[in-house]
Amino acid sequence: MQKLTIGQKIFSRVYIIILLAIIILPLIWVFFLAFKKPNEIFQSFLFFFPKHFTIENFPKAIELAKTGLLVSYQRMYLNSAIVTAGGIILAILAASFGAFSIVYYKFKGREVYYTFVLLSYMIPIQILLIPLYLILYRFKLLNTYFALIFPYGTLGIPIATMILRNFFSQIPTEIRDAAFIDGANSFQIFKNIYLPLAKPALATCIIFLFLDMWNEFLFAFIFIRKESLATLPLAMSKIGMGGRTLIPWGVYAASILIAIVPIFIVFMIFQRWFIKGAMMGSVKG
Amino acid sequence: MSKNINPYNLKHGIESISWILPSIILFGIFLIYPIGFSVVLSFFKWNGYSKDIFSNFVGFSNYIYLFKDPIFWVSFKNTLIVVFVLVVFMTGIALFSALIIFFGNFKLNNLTRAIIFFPGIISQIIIGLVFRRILALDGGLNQLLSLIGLKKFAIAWLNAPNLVIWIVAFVLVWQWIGYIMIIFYAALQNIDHELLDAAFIDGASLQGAIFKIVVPQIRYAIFLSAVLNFIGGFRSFNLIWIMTNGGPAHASEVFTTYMYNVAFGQYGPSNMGYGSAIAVILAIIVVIFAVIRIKFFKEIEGV
Repeated sequence: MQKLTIGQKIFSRVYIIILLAIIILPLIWVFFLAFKKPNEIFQSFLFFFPKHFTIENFPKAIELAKTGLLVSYQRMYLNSAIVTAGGIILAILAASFGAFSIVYYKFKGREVYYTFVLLSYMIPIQILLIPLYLILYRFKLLNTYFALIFPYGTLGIPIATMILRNFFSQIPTEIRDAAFIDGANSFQIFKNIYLPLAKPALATCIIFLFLDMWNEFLFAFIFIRKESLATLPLAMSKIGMGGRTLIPWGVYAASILIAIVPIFIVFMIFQRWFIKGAMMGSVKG
Repeated sequence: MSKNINPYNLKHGIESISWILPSIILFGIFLIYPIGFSVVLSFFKWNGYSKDIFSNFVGFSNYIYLFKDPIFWVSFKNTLIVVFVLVVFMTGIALFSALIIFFGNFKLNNLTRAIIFFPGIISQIIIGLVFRRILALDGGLNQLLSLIGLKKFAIAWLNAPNLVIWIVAFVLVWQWIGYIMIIFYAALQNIDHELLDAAFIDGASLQGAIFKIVVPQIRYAIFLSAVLNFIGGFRSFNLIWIMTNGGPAHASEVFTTYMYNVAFGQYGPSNMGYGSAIAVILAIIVVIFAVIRIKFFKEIEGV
């Protein structure tokens, strides 16, 4: 590798530090805002450090959720967890069958089907909004978890199919042929050979789907009007609407922090998987 | 394709189809039928309440109105600005940053990676809340400006009609740049280092090596990210909705917010047919680029 000149070295270091600062500062600013007393919001040391740390904003934020948003944070976490888990299970079940079929059989139209899957991954959800509302209304599913689980699950199928198909197609066909000659049927081959081997691909799928579903907003906004069923993004969006001027900024920031906690913990634990998944998604898929 | 015997072939059509049946059923009910429904609805006028959805056929008039609707053209222009910022600026800055990390020989430790990546995993609703606070008149950005003696430039950033769409677009850049950067960084790890070293031994300059050797080798990653950002720009909704909801006075209106606001009656009576027409146009544009991306993939897989 080429040795850098002193000038280039200094420039590259300064550049990276500035870049990291721009990425991290907004979040740090909000973080410290949550620990400020109301009279300190606009006159703090170096504009973000609080002079006197206070945690009084957090109980207020929890109270605000119960009285203003009509749903507790525990309930939001639970709601988001239920629709995310339901959506992931639905998507992975359907997609693992579908991906297996594409790789295992040579049926007519599998190219067409796979192209359709690739296309549907990109579809803007605005075009689904009105009809989905009417379908869910017809099935009496509005204001239930299923109003989100079915659309999330369906829209999760394409990415999961792409990831699993790519993985399945790398499994040597000799394994499959040997099992077939030994008399295994296709379901046994799927369950005992393909699925166990695909654990890393399944993990990638879960990460992609988790991020999409945990953070989804528009469907929840249109299909869930019952406060007690609100997912995190849906409930948090209401902090931004309505009485926005009435909420003290410290409480506003504390609410944001409380809402980030679950995904922050998940990210910290599975960080390497997240980044691996992102890189993999870039190469294929 | 493998040369081995495939135990199943065309004769087992029904069995193979039964495996994709769960996907097909879900796609049918929750994707294909709704798309068809929206396309049909775009030829009708419906207020969202009356029982007879398809009683008022208006032909192409929703589409014709689209071309005469000045706000639609504002939203079109704004969408293009977002796409431009994402495709040109974000790809450019991310590539530049990845090159600096690569040639500067930075070892990205886990903490740095985590920082770079973290904004990309947070809900855009929350990102929007954060930046609405930062960009307010008494917000963090203006506090920073007055700290460094530039107080006279302090404004309510999201109320500035000429700036707001650019600001919103750059918040999107802020959120996604780490992700794109890591994609480019991963691509840089895979380039042919011997070729690069040979070029430097032959006396190539850094710039020369970058443009003649590095960039051509990661062109797929660049092209891919550009197409993805293009589609992402057209599809982005949550962040713009929470930050400005298209305002002030449509200054940050994009396709997606305009569709929502028209269909769900934020600007006068609900107009589901017209909203559907906007959604159809949006979907057509996105699908065209999705097809380009798929064709491109088939090409590199075929090589």
